[in-house]
Amino acid sequence: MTYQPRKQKPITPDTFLRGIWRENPVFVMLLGLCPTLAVTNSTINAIGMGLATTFVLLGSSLLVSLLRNLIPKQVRIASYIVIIATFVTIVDYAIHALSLELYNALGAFIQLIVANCVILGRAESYASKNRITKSLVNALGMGVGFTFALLCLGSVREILGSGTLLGFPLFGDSFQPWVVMILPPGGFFVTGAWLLLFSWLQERRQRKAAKEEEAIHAPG
Amino acid sequence: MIELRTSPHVRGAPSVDQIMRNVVYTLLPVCAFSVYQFGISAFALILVAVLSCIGTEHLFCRLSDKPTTVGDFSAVITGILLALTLPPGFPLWMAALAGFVGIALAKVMFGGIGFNVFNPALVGRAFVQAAFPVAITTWTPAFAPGRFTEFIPSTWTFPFAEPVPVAQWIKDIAVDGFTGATPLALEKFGNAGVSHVHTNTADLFMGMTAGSAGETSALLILICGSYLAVRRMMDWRIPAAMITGAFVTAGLFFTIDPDAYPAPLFMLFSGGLMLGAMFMASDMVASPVTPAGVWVYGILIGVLTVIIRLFGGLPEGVMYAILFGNAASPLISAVTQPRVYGTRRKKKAES
Amino acid sequence: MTMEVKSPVPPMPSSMAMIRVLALIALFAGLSVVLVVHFTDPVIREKELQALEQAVFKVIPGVEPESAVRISYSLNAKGLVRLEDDAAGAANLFAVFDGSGKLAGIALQGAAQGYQDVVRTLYGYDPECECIIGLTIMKSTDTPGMGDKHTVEANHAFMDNFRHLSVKLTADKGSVAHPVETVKHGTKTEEWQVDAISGATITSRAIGKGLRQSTGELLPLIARHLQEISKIPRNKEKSGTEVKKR
Repeated sequence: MTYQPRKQKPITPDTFLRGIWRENPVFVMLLGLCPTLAVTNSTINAIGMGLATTFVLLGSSLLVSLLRNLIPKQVRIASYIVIIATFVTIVDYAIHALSLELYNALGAFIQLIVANCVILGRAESYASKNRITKSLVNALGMGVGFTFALLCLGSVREILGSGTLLGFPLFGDSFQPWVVMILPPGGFFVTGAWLLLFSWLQERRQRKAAKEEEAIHAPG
Repeated sequence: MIELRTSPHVRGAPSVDQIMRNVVYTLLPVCAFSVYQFGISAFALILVAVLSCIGTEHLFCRLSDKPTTVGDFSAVITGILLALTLPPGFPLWMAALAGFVGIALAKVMFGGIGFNVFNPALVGRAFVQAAFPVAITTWTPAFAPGRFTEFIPSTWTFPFAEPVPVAQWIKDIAVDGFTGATPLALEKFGNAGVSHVHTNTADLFMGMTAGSAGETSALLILICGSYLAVRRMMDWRIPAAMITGAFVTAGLFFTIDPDAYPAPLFMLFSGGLMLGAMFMASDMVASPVTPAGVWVYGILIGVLTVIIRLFGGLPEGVMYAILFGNAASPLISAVTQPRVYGTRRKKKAES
Repeated sequence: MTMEVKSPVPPMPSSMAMIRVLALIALFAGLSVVLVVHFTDPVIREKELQALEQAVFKVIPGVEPESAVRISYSLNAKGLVRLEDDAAGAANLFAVFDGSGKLAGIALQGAAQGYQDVVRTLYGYDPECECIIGLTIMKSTDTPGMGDKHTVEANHAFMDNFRHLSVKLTADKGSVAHPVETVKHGTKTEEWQVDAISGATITSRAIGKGLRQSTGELLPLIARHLQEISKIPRNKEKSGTEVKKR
């Protein structure tokens, strides 16, 4: 890149961090809920899904950012989807080759990464407007944030639903599993509970900030 | 304490507290019969469910800095109803969890009393039904000999542990021919090679069968419910509509093929249909408000109950039917709005 | 975003430009997919073969996987066809021979509608005792914690049903004398009955039904072709010889 038509802001830690916390794809933006609810019935599935999505995010962001000045606006969505689908296919075969068990557990949801709005959203709103490194850093942040969210769900659902974590039994033989937690309704319950927790924390922080502000202004 | 009253000739509508307290009173005989039938295990079950419901409501009120609302008795009703729909030997920790989920998920999250979309007791039961499908279908016989001195072994299961197996216990107390199945399950799945096992309808009516803690005596529930209806603390049309709906649907199938389908009276007196009709479907908040809507709502639940029982994977359908009715009730209210006096129906106005 | 375009609709680029870019992307996509398939396909085949092998040896107890020989066949009313390519998916019969070359058992597949979806099983059949000697669940999407693969296979009492499940043929070898039957938990009285899992009756029934259908269809055929099946074919080359109908 020799000439930049638009002034680019430099990369800050925020470029990476916003995907993990402030713009977390699952907990804040509520994107990509289909895989979130469907495959988080165990920690290992959650990690597998999270890493697969992160890979697709990175790959598609790289390519979209690289080609951003080449792709005409009229065909950009088609281009993005083809690019994303390519990386999804790669990931699909890679998981199949690495572990049959994980592949069978994730089922059609690997292929469905292509329809995950997190990825198309990143391509459309970030990678197509930013430099390669910056897009990559942002995509990585989003991927880590997505994986983190899936991990939050997967670990809770596995602990309650099977009494294990990463396959290791936690409570001994007499534990009564909560079957509902590994069923789809469990996904909704746990997602709801996490959303509740995050918004409660946020509200508390805001209230605290408002109080501090009051305290500063009061004497003056 | 001075009780403020309106003038004697002005008959004010009873307050929420009053209604709720009366519902609790009418539920007490049902509880008493349940304890008589299943012994101290049923007592412990009711107690734990009620305490869990009250505790949960109190906790959430504290968390949101609001004055506690446990004084209005509605949490007590939820607890009692929940316990009455559970099997008598249900582990207490699961009952406490059901109470917590019911109140937290179905009541507090929606804004407390008056805002719940679903009946909290049924949401709690639906949760444990999905979470612990085996425990919630483990039935123990009624009128066990030592029921007032000895708990059913599974009652005192250590929290988060699997329920203590009761098969041996049931064998030991040796109730003839008890198979661990309710009349509904016998009817649906059969027993030992016989495809449909019929249970005496009179036994069902009096409540001399196995089943959930408080669902067994249709007669008692009918009497208690009628008291509420007479006192106008419950809309009598809901149970009437639900029972009619169930009766007609079951009768229809029975006339088509009396061998394959159970008799309509069996449908009415078995399982939780009576309790559901009298105390759960008639939940004031989660049922429609229009007079025509009430009938639609009740009939819908009755028909659904029979359909689920006959064709679903589960032997009992009252819970899901009522939850479905709850979900449909805003829609029912909307389409059955009565005509405002002096206005014309839209169709006529257009023509 | 600041665009210095006057009209809200940017001028249409030439079709050539669009075609060029799309072709470039498609080229890249095609190339990478082909590459990935090229490198992973052998690995995937190998793994699927291994999984099948493991399942086959699991349902035929008492053979050592190292020394055992497995021969795949496709068996139907038309005849018996030996298959070289295991991964083709056409095989429905796996004959397993122990180290000494003796037929240890035959692995067959069963399938029937369960609670959610079809429950697929693989079971071992011993023609000598005319019984089922082992079973594993290939796929079950029934309620996790009740009817899924892991729960059912962990239920020893239930799996014991399939250690010696009688599927004796009638005297004329035309059908199974007592078809496999699933009975309610705790009421098994005959050796061709399957004692259901309490709480997962529908899954148990699906497993029993899969066995009943599969044995009813295949066992008479196996009885006809038992001579071919119980010998290890000599030639290791591609044979695919059609065995004539009797």
